[in-house]
Amino acid sequence: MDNIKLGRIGEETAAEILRSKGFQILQKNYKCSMGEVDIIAAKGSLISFIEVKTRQSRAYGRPCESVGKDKQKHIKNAAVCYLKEMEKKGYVPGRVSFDVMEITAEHITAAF
Amino acid sequence: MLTKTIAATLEGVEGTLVTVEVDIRRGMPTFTIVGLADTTIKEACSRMKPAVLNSGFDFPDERVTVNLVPAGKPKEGTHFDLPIAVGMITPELGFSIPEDTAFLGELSLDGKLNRIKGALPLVMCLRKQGIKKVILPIGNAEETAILKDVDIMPAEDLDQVIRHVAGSSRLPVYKGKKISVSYDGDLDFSQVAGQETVKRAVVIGVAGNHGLLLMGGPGCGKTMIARRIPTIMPEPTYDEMLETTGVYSVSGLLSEAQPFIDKRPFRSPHHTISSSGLLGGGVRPRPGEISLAHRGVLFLDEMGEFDGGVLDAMRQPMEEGLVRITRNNREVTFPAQVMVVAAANPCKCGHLWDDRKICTCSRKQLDDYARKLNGPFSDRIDMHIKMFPVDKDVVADDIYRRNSMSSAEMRRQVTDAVDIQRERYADTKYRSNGDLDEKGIAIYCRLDKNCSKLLSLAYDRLGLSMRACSRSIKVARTIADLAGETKIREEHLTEALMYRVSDGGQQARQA
Repeated sequence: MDNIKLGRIGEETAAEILRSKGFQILQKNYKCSMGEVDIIAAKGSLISFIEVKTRQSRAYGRPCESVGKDKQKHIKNAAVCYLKEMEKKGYVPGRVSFDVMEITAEHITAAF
Repeated sequence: MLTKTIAATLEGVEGTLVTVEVDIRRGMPTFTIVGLADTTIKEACSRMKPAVLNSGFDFPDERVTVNLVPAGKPKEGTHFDLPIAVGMITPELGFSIPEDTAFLGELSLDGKLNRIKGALPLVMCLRKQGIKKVILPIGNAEETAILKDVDIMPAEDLDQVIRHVAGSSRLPVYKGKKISVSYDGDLDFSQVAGQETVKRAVVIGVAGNHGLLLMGGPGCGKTMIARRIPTIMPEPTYDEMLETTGVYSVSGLLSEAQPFIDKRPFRSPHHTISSSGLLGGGVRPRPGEISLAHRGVLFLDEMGEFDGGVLDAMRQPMEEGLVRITRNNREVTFPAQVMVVAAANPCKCGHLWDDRKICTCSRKQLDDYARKLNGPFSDRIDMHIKMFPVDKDVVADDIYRRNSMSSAEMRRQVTDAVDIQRERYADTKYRSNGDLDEKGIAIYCRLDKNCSKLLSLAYDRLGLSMRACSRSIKVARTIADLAGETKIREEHLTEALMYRVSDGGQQARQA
């Protein structure tokens, strides 16, 4: 399985979990010239920009460790883009949060 | 999860207790150190992860915040690695950190504990704060084991330390090897032919901790005599040994082969030395030669060749017995209680006092040289001794040489006088006659009528300064102690004044 496919599965899973937590998924894979955001979700007045990281093992540390300074900057810039677009549509955002969602699907062979 | 571990930090040779707080919280993995830590401590961030993982422990992939309390005091040194690591690992394993134990040590990437600088003063500061158990690298065990009332538990690696904290295998308390004081057998005063009067002056100087200025032509034995001074110095006391070793520990001059300084140091800096080399300095202040000679001898060979500014800069530390270095609004002090021994030629060419040779110095050269020899620096040296070339009879007479005073004999005289002083100054701040201030002189160096008269005469005729007078009184006190007398008598003061008259400047002016 290639990484793109794994990432897609992870994002779908993440969206499912968010929905079950009461979030409303506003957009998936939002892209603009400044960067991209995996999932944009809202719950009440809170709007969350969520980066989903999917891994098959923890051999390379925690998934969220790979969300570095540059990646964070891209997400922030993309968020500004998105919020501006929304503002034009007359949407007034409340609180904003930037989240990371870790999904580890580790296949332990011959576990017991 | 919050843990607290005890450590310490140094400023000069003065330590401060530091509590290392480690907070582990869920979130994006970060590692932050706060509390005015300098680069050496900040680098612990990168050392910590491999060191912990290679020791076989889990590194908490969480938001780790380390705070060094008191947060307002600047801290430096690599020895914070161990307390941080212990504070980070133990809560994960479910053990609590003992509050009566301090942790000091630098981590290697493989988890081994490396030798640290300044271990002895760090442990001494912890001892003062009532911490009597210290875990530190095995390389620092010998150096710190001279502190008898502290339990030193040396460890080889992080694993051993964690096992100790967990209680599964306790680290044994290290008892140091026996301290032995030995003298360099190659040097002895009996090798000095003639110059018996100078040797007498050296005994007085060492017995009372008075500075010596030896003036004489080239080859008359100034350096030879100075190098033999350590052979007759009284053995350092336990506290003195700790002070000296502390300075060397901070400078990183101790090694496995020489874990502590059990002899009085003898430092002879070259005359081209800068003032920061002599007094200490640098961005992160380090002790200079004067501090490395603490409780020992600072030998300034060819004093006339030293930079005038350097000698002038030494005046205040000499009087005060400590060096103050100011950096970024904070003051670092290093101890500097030394016996100054200076040697100088009477003039630039050196032949001024030798009847068999001709002095080739110009008027100006003589004046310039005399200025250095009679400046405010040499006024602060208690005893000025004029040395002449050895008599031709002594050169011929083998028996005379064999009868010359040996180090053993001189040391016996010194030890007796030192014992008298130790007894007399037992409950005071003074240690020797050389330490006496104006108040001390008034109490311990009472002069009778005849002596007072003699002193005022000398003040007038010899052109002594008031400081020179009080210094002569202190020397007279030592001479009386060497004679085993409780009162200073006229003959003692006369001899003391003799060590002031050999004034190079006057000689130069007459020539």
